[in-house]
Amino acid sequence: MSSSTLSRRPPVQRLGLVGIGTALLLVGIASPAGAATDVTIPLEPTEVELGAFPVENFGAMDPMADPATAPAVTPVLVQYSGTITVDLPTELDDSAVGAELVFDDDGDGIPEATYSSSVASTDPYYLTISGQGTGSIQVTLPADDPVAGDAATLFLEPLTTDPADLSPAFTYYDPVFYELAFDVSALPAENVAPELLAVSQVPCGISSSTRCAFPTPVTAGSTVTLDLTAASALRELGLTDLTGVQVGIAPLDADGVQTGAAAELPAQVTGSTATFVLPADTAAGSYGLVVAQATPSGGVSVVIVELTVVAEVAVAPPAAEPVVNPGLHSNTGVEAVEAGSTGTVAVAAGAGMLLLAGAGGITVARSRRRPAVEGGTCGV
Amino acid sequence: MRGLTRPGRRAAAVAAITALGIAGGTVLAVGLADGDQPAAAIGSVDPVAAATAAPPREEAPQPALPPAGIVLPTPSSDVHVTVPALGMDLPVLPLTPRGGAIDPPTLTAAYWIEPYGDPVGAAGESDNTLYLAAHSTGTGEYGFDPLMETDGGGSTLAAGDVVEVSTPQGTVSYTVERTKRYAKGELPGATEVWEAAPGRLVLITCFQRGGGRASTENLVIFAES
Repeated sequence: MSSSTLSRRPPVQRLGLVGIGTALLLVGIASPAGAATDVTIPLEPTEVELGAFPVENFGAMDPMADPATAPAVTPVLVQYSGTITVDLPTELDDSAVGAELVFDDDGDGIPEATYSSSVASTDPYYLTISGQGTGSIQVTLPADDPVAGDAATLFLEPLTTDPADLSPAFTYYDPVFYELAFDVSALPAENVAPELLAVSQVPCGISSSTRCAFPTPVTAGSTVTLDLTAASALRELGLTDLTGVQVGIAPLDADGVQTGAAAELPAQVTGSTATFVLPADTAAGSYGLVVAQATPSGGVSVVIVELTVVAEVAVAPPAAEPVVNPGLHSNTGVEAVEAGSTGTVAVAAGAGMLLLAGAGGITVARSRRRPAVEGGTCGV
Repeated sequence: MRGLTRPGRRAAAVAAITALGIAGGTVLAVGLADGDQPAAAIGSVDPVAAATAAPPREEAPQPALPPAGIVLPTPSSDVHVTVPALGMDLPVLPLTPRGGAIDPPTLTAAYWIEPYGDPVGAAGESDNTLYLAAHSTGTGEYGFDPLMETDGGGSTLAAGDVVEVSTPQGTVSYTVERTKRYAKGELPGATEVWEAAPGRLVLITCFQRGGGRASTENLVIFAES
């Protein structure tokens, strides 16, 4: 038994490690629109790409993982001449699926042996497959082939989406693949069940060749609302609300490539909406927002949004009412006494007039108190 | 006929006296208005004016300019306000306003207004605006005279000039930001003057008019430590 190496596994690259890294490469250019503090992002993708994630090889999907970090691969142990049954996601139509088993034990890209269900059943490299159309595909593994080695990759294709279940917005990307390691100690019958991965992007379709950030830049520290709209194609996956949604954010480089694992942010879910707060210390720049949610069928929906984050506007605290001391008059002048100065003369003149008026008044009053004498002609 | 003529003459006399009284009062009022504080400002040298020119508020008598050749004593204080650029150095004493007015009792000192900001040894110790008030006489010899242009055109201080207030605990330097003239009646309501701002220094004096006329404006100098 040999160990597996990633260099031998183009399907892993094709999946783009749950597609996130690839998706972020496709998101758009920041809009010049003004920043907002109450942004609502409708989770209403126009395209949804489907894949089947071999959890037995890579472990449970982690949508927040750094897509540039290759996950460890654990081959599924199988036995020569044994069987492996692949239980496919219910969303896939496997009525025409075939199987191929490729041995490239030395990892040079040139298979030592390839078994296929598409060759004649008499061909020594014929691969027996059964269960098409049932969702459970059983592959009978070949006998030990000393030339081929003991490490192989099993491919199942073609698979499609069932138009009865999913609208044309959904596209499945083949194949389902599994890394196998033939081991005499393995169970003769192995079962695996890849999980459906549904990757989408808003506002542009995920197949868009240009970046398209959400039109409204978001202010750090503000609340962002996610809305699983009534018309969202994601509801076709069985999502009725945003229960259990996970939200993460990861910085993007100048090319729109995620530069690390997404930091998960607490989300408050209310029915079909979820809110989260963009951390106030989030540096301005482009970020990939990862919105992940488990589907009822056991799959995972991942919606990617490129956010342009602007720094939180420092809000000046309300200016305190200034404390004002009681106002005062200021008698800090002096007036030199100068002879003939206007003020002094006026005061003196006015006072003089008042004195004269007072004297005159007294005279008049006295005259009124005396008996009237009329020309001294009045006798007794 | 005589009965008729007698009341007419009295009435005429009363009318004349009344007119004289009104005229006297008017002339007196003009004389008072010319300075807003004539009796007080000149040391109550005119008993008639002093008796009749009751100011709108109670004001303490202002110091009079001394006769020529008389040197007024300078109070002693360990607090001083200096303007190095002008060579001004005044002792500073506390003064609690009465009747809502600043009435510095001497011409030879400045006064910090209590209970507002006190002179402090370091700028960080301030808890209110420090108000320093002093008389201006227009003679260039007293109080804040050095802060006034000799021609009455404005202040000798301008933005950037330094005013220092020294105490035994230290000296705080204030940098002048601006100067402004206020009509005397407007000063109490000038919020910008009375805003409590630690680290701020406000110098207040009267804008002395020439020709011996009484001041009708205040000069306020704003500085920050």
